[in-house]
Amino acid sequence: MLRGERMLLVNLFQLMCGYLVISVEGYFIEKFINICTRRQIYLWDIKKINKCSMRSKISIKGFKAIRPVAYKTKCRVRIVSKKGIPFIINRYRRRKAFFIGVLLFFVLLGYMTSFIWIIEVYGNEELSTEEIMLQLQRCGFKVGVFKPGLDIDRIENEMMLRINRLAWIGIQVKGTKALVEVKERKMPPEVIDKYTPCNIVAAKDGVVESIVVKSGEPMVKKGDTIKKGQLLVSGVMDSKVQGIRYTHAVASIRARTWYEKSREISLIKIKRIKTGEKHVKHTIKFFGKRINLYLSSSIPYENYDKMTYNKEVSIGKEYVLPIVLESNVFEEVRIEKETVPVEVAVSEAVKSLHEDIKKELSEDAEIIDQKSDYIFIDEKNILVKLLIETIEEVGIQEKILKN
Amino acid sequence: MKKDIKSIKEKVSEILELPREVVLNAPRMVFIGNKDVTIENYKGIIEYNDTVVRINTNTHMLRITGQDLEIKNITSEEIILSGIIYTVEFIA
Repeated sequence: MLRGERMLLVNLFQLMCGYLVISVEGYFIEKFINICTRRQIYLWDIKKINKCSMRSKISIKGFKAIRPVAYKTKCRVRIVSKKGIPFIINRYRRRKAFFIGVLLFFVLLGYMTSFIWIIEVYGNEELSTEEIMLQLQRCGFKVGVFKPGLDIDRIENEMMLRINRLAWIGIQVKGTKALVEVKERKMPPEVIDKYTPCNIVAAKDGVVESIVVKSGEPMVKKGDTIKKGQLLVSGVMDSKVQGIRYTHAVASIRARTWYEKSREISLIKIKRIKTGEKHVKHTIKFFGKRINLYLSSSIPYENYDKMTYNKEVSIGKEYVLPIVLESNVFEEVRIEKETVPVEVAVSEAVKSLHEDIKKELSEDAEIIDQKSDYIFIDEKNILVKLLIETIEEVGIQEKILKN
Repeated sequence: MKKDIKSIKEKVSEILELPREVVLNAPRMVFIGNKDVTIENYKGIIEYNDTVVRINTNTHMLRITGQDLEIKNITSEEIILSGIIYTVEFIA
C-alpha cells in the first residue's frame, strides 16, 4: 500500500490547513463518530482514553460543524491543542513590523536576484576574457545589469558583429550567473590564389636540404645557405621561345634550421618549508567595497605564503549574491637554501629550454639533433645553452608585384 | 429461496469477474500483518475502545479484539484501524 508515502503528504497538507486536537467526553462516543462520518466531518487519529472519553484530530472546518453533533449525542467537546500554520499566523497577526520584515526580506531577495552578478566566460582560447568582457559591456551586458530588460538574442548578434573572430557565442543566464560560451573561428591562412603569379621566399635562415619544384624557376640548390626573405623559387620564367612568363610557383623546400636558447640558472635552490603556523584574515566584499573583519593589518611572520580564497554568498547554486567572503591565509614558511649538483641543474634547464623551443617550431619540423652546453658565470650561477637542429619546410609564397 | 438468489449472485459475479464485495455487498478487509486493517464497505461503529472494536457491515457484525486499537482514519467508505490485532470474529 502507498500509505507510508501518502501519510507524509497528507500530514503536510493538514499542517498547512491547520487542525485541532479535541477530546470528546460522553456515553455515546461510537454514535458521535458515526454521525460525524455521515455528515462528512472528517476525524482522524481517534484514540480512546478511558471508557467515556476519546481524543481525536479534526479540521478547522469540521470543528465548526461539530456543535449540533455534540448536542445530539450529549457529548462534551474540548479543544486540547491547535496545530498548523493558520494558528501560527494568527498568533503573529498583530505584529506588523514582523510581517513587514518578512515581506521586505522576500522583496529584497527577489530584487537582488534579478540582477546578473557574475559573468563567466569560457571556451575562448586566443581571445582574452577581458576583451570579451569589454565588448559585452559595450553591448550593455555587464555585472549588475537588470535581468528582465535583457535581450540575449540582440546581445549575441551584436557580439558576433563586434568580434570578428567569434564563430559562435551563447549566453546562458542561470539565476544571477551568466555563462558566456564562445567558440573561436579558426582564421584561414592567407592563401594566394592559384592563378596569381608568385615567388617562394625563405621564412627562416638555414641550409637547403631538399628542393622539389612543381612550377617556377628554382634559384637555390641543395646545400645552399639561405637567409630569411631570400628568393628560393622564382615565378618569373624567362625562356628564349616564349619570352617572360609569370607563373604561380609551387615547391617544397625543406631546410636545416637551428634554434638556440640559453638561460641563466642558479645552483642554489630556495626551499620554502611550511612551519604549520597560520594566520587568517577575513574580508567581506560588497559591490566592490571591502570591509575588513580584522583590526591590525600586520602579519606576524617574516616569511610567509599568502593564499586567497573567495567564497561567493549564494542561494542554492545559481542565485549568487554580490557579496564575497574573502579569506587570506598567511602560512609561515622557513626558508632553506640548498645547493643543487651541476648535472641536475643542467638537465632540468635543458628540459625546460627544450619545451620552450618546441613551442616555436612549426608542426612539420623534425628534430634531428640537439646539443647542450653550460658555462659558469660565477660560483653560484651557470649559463645553460641548448641548440636544436631541425629539418623543416621554409618556403612561403609571396606575390609578385608587377610594374 | 434466499439461498438460491445468493448463489446466483455469486455465480454471476464469478462469470462476469465482477468484484465480489460489490455484488455480495460484503466488507472488504485488507490487513497489513497484525498492525493495520482497512475495512471498506462498512455501515457503522457499534462499540469502540482500545481492546475491542465492533463494526456493523451489511452481512455480518465484525468483532476485532486487540491492544491499543486506534482509528487512524474514518470516512463514509472506509475505516482504518491500527494497533495490535489479536482476533477478528464474524458474528451473524
